[in-house]
Amino acid sequence: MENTNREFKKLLKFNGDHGTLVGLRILNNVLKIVTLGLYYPWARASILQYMYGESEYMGTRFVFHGTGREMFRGFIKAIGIFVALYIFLFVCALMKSLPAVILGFAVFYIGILLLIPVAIHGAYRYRLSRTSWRGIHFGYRGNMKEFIKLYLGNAFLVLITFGIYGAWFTVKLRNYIYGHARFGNVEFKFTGNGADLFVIRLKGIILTILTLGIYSFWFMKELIEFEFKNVKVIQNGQEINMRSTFTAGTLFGMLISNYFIILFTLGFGTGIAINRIMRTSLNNLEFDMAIDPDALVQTEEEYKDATGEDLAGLLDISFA
Amino acid sequence: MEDTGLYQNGITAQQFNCRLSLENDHLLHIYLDNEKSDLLIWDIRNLQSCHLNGTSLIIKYGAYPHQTLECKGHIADSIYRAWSQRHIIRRAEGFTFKKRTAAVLIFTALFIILSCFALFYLIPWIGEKAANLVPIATEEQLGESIASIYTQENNMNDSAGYYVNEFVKNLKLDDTYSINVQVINSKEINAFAVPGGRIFVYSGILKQMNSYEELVALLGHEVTHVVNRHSLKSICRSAATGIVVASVFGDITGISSGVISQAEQFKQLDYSRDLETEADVNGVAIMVQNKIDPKGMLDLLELLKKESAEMPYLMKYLSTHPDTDSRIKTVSGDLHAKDRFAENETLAHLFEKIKEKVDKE
Repeated sequence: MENTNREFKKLLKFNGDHGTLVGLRILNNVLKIVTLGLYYPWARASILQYMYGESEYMGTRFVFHGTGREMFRGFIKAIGIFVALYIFLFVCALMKSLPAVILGFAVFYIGILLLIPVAIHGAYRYRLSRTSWRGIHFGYRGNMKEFIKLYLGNAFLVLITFGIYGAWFTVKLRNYIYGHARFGNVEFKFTGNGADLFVIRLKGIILTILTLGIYSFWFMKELIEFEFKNVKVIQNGQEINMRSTFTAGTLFGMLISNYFIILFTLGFGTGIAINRIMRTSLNNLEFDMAIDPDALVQTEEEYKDATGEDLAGLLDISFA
Repeated sequence: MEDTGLYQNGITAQQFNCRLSLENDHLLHIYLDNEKSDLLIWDIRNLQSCHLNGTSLIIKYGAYPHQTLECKGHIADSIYRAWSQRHIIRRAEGFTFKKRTAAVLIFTALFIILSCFALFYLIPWIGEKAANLVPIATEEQLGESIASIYTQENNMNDSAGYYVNEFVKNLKLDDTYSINVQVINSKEINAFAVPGGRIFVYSGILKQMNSYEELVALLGHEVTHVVNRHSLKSICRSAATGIVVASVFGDITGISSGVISQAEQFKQLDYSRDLETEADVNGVAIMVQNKIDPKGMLDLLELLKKESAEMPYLMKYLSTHPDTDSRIKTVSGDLHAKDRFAENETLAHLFEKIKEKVDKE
């Protein structure tokens, strides 16, 4: 089948209303303070449930199945890993011998370094597995060892090339993650290449500096464009293309107004800003064809371990 | 209106319309709108989960991959009610979801009340109790480092200081701390105590004094600050509140933590005035114990009143000390005519010496 003459259409929509999210965030923050932070996993789950539940594709909302209880278990494990690393470092530091101290720091930093790919891997597995649309679950089939090797090997190249390799690094991660993501029997592919991303980044950084920051909105627009035009959704051999219709003006208007909303509401309006970002983002993503829901079949197994998701939260790694 | 929903079998993404009815409060009958017009019966008590997603209720049934039912309105309410019966957490979840505004208001109000209580009473109280755990040696070290700043920055009157210390030796005082008084040459009408037993008296106030009773009153007041660990308690109270405020509000915005620390400081002033009253009252007790006419405290307070006569009304609220009139009133209530007092010649003599030394400056 040919992809010609297909028109791009908006199929995603965000329905969230400001009051609900602002209220939810206040409630979560109060409960987090009252419980000295223990409510964190439930708060995170409720926000994710809201975000997915208010997003719809072809008129049907997504469902996030993760619960506070699952995330709490993951949270405890994630905290346990951090505590273990800190205790090891602390014990080594107490030994008062130089080799022990060096060993302590080495294990600590290598541990943290290893945790990043572990967290990304685990978070994708959990997040995708716990998301469904019309009862069909997403999934992530990546292999943790493979991903750690890929991540650390390429991160090392970024380090010795003083960051130049960063664009290729990003693309390799995207290739792996999209390549292993599933939505029932629908597959994904990332077709971007490192050189293109490198040119976008180099041009973006230079022009942003030369224009004293004004170009940053065009830079952002190009990065988003790159991100989505290279994602292919594949159903039964048929490729569906995506594209971003963001303009620099849209980005500028959204970000500047959000900044003032957060500032003038003393932070309480952060929920409004998040809603606006979601609404504008989903409104600016287009597909040149819809998935055929009747041909969509459940394929993915269930995965409930939220350790990676919580590790990612603690390490402050964010992703869509 | 008929109760309808959307059914998904968990195997494909096909959706089927269906009619719903709830029988015997726990049996959900699902009449599928497919070729065979299947009827499914789900026991509400065995549902996998039941939660609100956007505006609809999502019901999951059976092992993974679950069958899913999506519905709204009256039937959704009945199903949720049946499912959350006898489950307090499920009911709370349902309430917070459907009546989010009410939940937010209730929780926020509760939170504000609780945090005001914690901020103004509980945390300062804990800080104050923590102050009692500080060993005297540590307190003395702390006092020493504060005192050294004052001795370096001011012109000290050592000879007057010597006689004031002799004066102190002739008083019966609590001996937990070794009291050491130093005199600062300055026109200021003031005196203060640092933790651990060091007391500083400005020569200005000594010059204004007319009797040794007033000096006993002043020293009694300051010694009470020392013995009852007033400065340490104040420091611990502020520190405890400061730490909590910073850790809770540190990452929200600078503005709210600023507002809160201002409120906290007003409360701290209130506390400071309580401590001053305590020091006045206990100062009188010390005078009585030493058989010295406590009228000296009244004279001292009158002296302070004369000095602070020009203090504007509003300033009283911002002052660390209660206004002098109310101090006089409190102290007068504590004076008993029946106490017997004797003229103390040693103290009178030492007081003359002190006056001599400060007048020379």
